[in-house]
Amino acid sequence: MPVALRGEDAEGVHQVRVCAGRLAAWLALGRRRILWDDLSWLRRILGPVRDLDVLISAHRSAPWLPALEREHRERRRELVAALRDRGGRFAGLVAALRVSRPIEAERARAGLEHLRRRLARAGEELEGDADLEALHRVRRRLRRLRYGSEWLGERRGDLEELQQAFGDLNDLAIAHRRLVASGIAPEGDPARAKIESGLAERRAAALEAWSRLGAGVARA
Amino acid sequence: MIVELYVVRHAVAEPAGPGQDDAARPLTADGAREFARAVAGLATLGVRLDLLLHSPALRAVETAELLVPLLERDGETRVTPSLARAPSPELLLEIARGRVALVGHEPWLGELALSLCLGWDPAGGGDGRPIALGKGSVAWLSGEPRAGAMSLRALWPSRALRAVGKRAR
Repeated sequence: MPVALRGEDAEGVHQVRVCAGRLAAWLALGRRRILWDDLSWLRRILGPVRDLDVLISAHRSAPWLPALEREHRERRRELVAALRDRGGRFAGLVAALRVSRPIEAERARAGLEHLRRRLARAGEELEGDADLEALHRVRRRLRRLRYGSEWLGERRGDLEELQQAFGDLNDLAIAHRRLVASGIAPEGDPARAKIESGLAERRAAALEAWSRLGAGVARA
Repeated sequence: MIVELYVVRHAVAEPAGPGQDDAARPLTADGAREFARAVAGLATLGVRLDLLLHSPALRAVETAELLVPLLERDGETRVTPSLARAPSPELLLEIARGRVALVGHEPWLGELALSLCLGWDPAGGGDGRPIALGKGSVAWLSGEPRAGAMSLRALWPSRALRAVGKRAR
């Protein structure tokens, strides 16, 4: 948290976001609804700062960098204000998590099985010509199943590999949305060409990883 | 904007153990069971929620979790420290839409209800008494969420809600 608040190292925001994702997976293991929306809210205000950290770092010499940096400063201001507000939602979330009861092992195992089934259902949509939204759905459920497994002390290489492949696709999809779809990077911009050709490659890589490993992670 | 407000006192909780943080007190098993039956009574009465606000204390979190079946599909839950202290203008700003439940603690919920219905200010002295809410009980208010602008539609003790839920089965 102090690193995220100081803003000198992008890793701070990234780690808080990962932590929020892990806590959401923990709630999912216990089939708990309360605090879920608060963690989603936290990820929503961390996300744009993280995305912009990554884009700014990758395109330091781009002519449109100042526009991204302006947005980054604004989003960071909003984020820091929310994290520092002692009477606000983040303070309430931390206070509630601090006193939360552990989830019983049996319930957590049942919760993990539920996460696996949800991933399997999302994976069925990848047959044929899956759109980006279907791929994102699988990515989110992969993340939850992986984090849920790790809460139960299970580390799975296949889940990590799949999450990496789908995460790489997501990173480029975000870059596309922010730079290409928004019009910031015009036609002919080298970054734009690289993103557009990269999207197809990463999509293929994610689908290949799923065809190789998906049956294994989706099976009980 | 007209809001249907359900002011809910948390269900029966364990007493604090020696040195235990008051905020860490969980519901008793009976308290949780009884409140789940009270929620069935609220469902029978047609209560649905768009927004569920709750204090961060464990007994409020666990009470709120039991109210989740009343939440609309696109409903939202939100933790707010404003429900762990005396009523404030900040709390009223959070009561944004439609059908809202507040899960918190006495005497603050009673003070809030009296302020919203009669404009009573707990800091202003006088001989006003807050509306007393038993554990697991619900006060239903309707109107604009500002001092003196809401009406008390019903005060449902937990026992009555359990009876309504039982009769419906």
